[in-house]
Parts: sequence; C-alpha cells; structure tokens
Amino acid sequence: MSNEIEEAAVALIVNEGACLDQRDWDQWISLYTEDAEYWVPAWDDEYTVTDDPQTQMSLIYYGDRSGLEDRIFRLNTETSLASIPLPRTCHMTTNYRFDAQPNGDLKVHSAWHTYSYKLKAINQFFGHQEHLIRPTDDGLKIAGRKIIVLNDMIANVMDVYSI
Amino acid sequence: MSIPLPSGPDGYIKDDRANSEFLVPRKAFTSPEVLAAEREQIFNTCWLYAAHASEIPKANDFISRRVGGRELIISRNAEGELGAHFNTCSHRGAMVCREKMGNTKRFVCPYHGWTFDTGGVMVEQPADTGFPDDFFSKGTKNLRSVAKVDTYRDFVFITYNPNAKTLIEYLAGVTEYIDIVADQSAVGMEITEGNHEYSMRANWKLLLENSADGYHGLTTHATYFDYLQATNGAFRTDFDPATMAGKCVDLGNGHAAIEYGAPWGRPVAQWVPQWGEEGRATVDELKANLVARCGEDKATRIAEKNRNILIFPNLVINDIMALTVRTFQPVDAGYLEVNAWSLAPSEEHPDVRKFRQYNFLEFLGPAGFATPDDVEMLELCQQGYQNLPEPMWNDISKGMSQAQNGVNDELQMRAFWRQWNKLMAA
Repeated sequence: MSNEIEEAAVALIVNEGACLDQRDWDQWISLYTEDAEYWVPAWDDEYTVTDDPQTQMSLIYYGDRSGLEDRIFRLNTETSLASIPLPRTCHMTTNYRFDAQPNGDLKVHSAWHTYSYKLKAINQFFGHQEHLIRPTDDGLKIAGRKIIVLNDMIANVMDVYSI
Repeated sequence: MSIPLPSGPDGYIKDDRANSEFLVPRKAFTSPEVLAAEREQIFNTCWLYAAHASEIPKANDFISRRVGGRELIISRNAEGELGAHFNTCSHRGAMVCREKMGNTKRFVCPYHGWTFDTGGVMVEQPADTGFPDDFFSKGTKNLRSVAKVDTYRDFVFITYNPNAKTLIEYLAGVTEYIDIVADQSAVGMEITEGNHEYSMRANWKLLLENSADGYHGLTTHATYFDYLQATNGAFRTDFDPATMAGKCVDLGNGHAAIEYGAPWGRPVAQWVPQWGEEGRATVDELKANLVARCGEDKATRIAEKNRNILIFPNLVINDIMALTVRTFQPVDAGYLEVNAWSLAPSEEHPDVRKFRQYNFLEFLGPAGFATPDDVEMLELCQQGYQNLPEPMWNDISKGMSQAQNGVNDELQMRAFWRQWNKLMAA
C-alpha cells in the first residue's frame, strides 16, 4: 500500500515539472489543494535559510493557493516583460525520500534542478524541496511545497516556472 | 585618468538649460575605462552605505560584504565600537573572513594563521621565531581600516577618502528623508532576517536611475497594477489619484527623492481593506502613536506617502508598500550585483510585520511582481547600447522646462548625473 502511494506521489511531482515545462498553468494549479502553502525561503547566513515567512524575508511565500493563481493571472496577461518570451525550461527531480505523516499525508523530500533558456542565455536553479502530498477525493494533491534554492545569487528573474 | 567620452562645455553630459534638453552619453554605461574612472573618482571618494547598525547590534558582531567594489569586514570590537576594515590579511593578502555575518572574538587568516581581533588588531601568529620582539606591537600589521566610518540614524556609511567632508555634510538634504524612514519606529528600525541577492547584465547607473523613476511605472509595471486592481481591497477606498503626481526633489550632492500618495497599504500606518477589521484596529493604533510622536502633519506624511530615495552613488531606500534598503555593486561595466533588505520598526506588531513582508515579496525582489520586469528593462537598455556609436545619447530632459518636477519627471536623474559629471570631470 505504502509503495503505491509513494509511486503515485513521485508521479505527481514529476507531472508538476512537466506541467511547468509545457506551460500548462491551469493543469499545474489543479495539482495543488486550495490551502496549499508555497514557500521559497531566503538565505540568512551561509548555512541557514529563514524559518518564519511572516517576520523574516523569503523569496516567495504564499499561505494558500490564491497566490499561485495571482502568478498565473500575471503570466496570462502576457505583458510581464520578465516573462516575454517565457524561457524554455527543463525540470528534473530525483533522490526521493518519504516521510509518512500521522494524518495520512506523505511528505516527499527530493532534489531538483531546473534549466532555463531564454534569448541565448542559460540560467539554472537547483536545490532541495519538500512536497506535502495529500490523498483527496480527487486523487493525490500537493498540499504544500517548500523549495530551497541553493544558488541564490539570482540572475535576472526567478518565477514558479524556473524552480 | 583618461576617460573615453566626448567632452563639451558642460563636461561629459549635455545640460542645455536654455533649450531644456539633458543628454547623457551611452558610452558611460558600456566602457570599462569609464567604470575604472568611476571606481577612482566616485567610489573611492564618496561616502558609501556599508550596513545598518541593527545587523551588528552586539560587541564582536561582524558582517563581511563588498562595498564600492572592495571587500570589507564591518564589525564591533570587544568594546562595541563600530569599525570597518579591508578584508585582506596584512601578511600575504588572503581574505581573513569568509562568512557573511556572525559573532567572533578573532578572525584567523586561513593561510598562515595570523589572527586579528574584531577591531582589526593583530593579536597573534603561530611562529615563535623569525620576527624581532617588537615586530607586531607597532600596529603596522593590524588589518587596514577604511579612512572613515560614521553613522546617520543607524545607517552605517564608510569612505575610502581621508579628505572626505563629514557624513552629515555629504548627506546634505537627504537627511530629511532618512529621518522620515528612521522616525517610523519609536525605538529603532531593524533589518529583518534574510536578504535578496540578485544580478543583472546592466550598468550600475541604470539601476540607480530606475529606482526612483515614476515615469516607467504604468508601462513597465502594467501587470502589477492590473493585478492590484483585480485584487479586492488592495487599494485604500478613499484614495485621491491626484496625490500620485507628487513631487521630485534635488537634495544636493547627487541625492534626490520622489514623494507621492500611496494607494496601497503601508505597514507603517496606512490600512487597506485587504488587511481586515482586526488589522485596521492595529494600524489605527500605529497611526495614533505616530501622531503623538511626530505631530499630525508629519505622521500623515509618513503614513500616506511613498518615497523613493536615491543616495549618491549606490544606495536606494524605497519607502513604498514595504521599506527596502538596496545597494548594488558594479562588477563590470555591463554587470551588477544587488543586495536588498527589508527594513522595519523593531517593535513592530507581528500582524503588521506579516503584511510588510508579504507586501515586500509581492512587489520587490527577484521573484516579485515588479523587480523582474525592471531587471528585464535595464538589460534591454544595456543591449540597446550595443548599437553605439551612432545613437550616442540618452535623453533625460522630462520636466526640465518646469519649475516643479513631479514623480513622472526626471529631475532626480539629472541631479545624479550632474554630480556624476562633476566628480568625473574633476
């Protein structure tokens, strides 16, 4: 049983990257629960990221999915200069480790690497992440994602499609 | 130093007041020789922002960062006195500190073990032979300190110029605007934990110009304004759009600011419906405290106005939907690195701090809704300059024919460039 949910969770995480690579924003959003927290902490010192998005700095923080919907709204206006043209992206995720939660959720730790290519320039971000995967009536959903970006001298722009 | 720019009666710029035309040479954004001259004549002579005192509150606290292209350790010694030293060993030159910040009694050079205290004093080295007895007691082997360090309202500045005038003289009229930032707390402002570091393929002066440029707001940031308008309660309901015109002021020595009505919530003391009724009570109390401390007029100015403040040459304090302190370093003529922090009252209510940080992230930073669009524009300008030599000049004349300039005019840039020209032509 646990293997089945682990396999399905990995498929969901891989599918998330594919949705972003294909710029299928609506499908991407639908992978998240409405109350999903999405958080990219900032670095505090060499080895530590910030641990409280309400009092400290982050790179991106949304307490629920509506913030991600705002991002999609912005991308769909097709007038945000930073996203014209959108970079071609390639999301890769690996090294999955699973941590079953008492409430039936599954926390999935993984390593990730995303390449972006735009106007002859290659950018890349990489790091670790935690997905909180939740069984719902509508199948498995992402109920939370915390993304640690290891290379935080950010060239040009970082957006949801580049991590 | 020879500067490869055309020089006319106004120096390297064209400041034609009779015809209200102000032109800046594009080569000033692309030439490595110009950047080398800027390092000598601007970054090595001016006062430069180094840190905020709240980053190093205790004895033996330190930070290491690049200031004006040079690597510094800014620290408090064992007695708590503030100092700034070049991060390079007096022995063979290795950087003695590789951590961004921390608290320590000693900096030990990793190469041969020469050891310095947080005041830069050489305290020991591992060899027991080879030096005369008094070799290290003369002070000549201490870490070299920068020429001057001084603080204004907890903003720590340094200069590499031993002949620099005092900081307060240097800051000239911009002290009024720094005061308005510092007065937002009864007990002291603080840099909140964490920062944003980002880079762009653009000349450093492009970011300076852009940071207080009201003119680009509605085009470059169209999506942000669309987003705000589509968001319930993001704007104050009684906002008077006429206050957006605001003013733009030359504050002397290359410093300038724009100031204008803020339609959005300002965590210092301007509530918007998005923050809910509970938030309203908290923010109303902040406003009442502000009035009690500063008087009605100043409190209203602090609460309801945005300010984008340029402090020559490379400090920006933007007091907008959040408060950002931003400094940037040219790495080469076409590439710069930015360090940006969120500044807040240290006694801030947790609910209001939350609004502040959310506001900050929404608009600012490399993953925000505005900064990436700015970055893209500045890179486009830098790419446009590849077309030199024919299109030679940038135009920043807007508002020059008017007695008063508003936020959509370009007086703030002319103030910067006149000072730049004065120092470069010297």
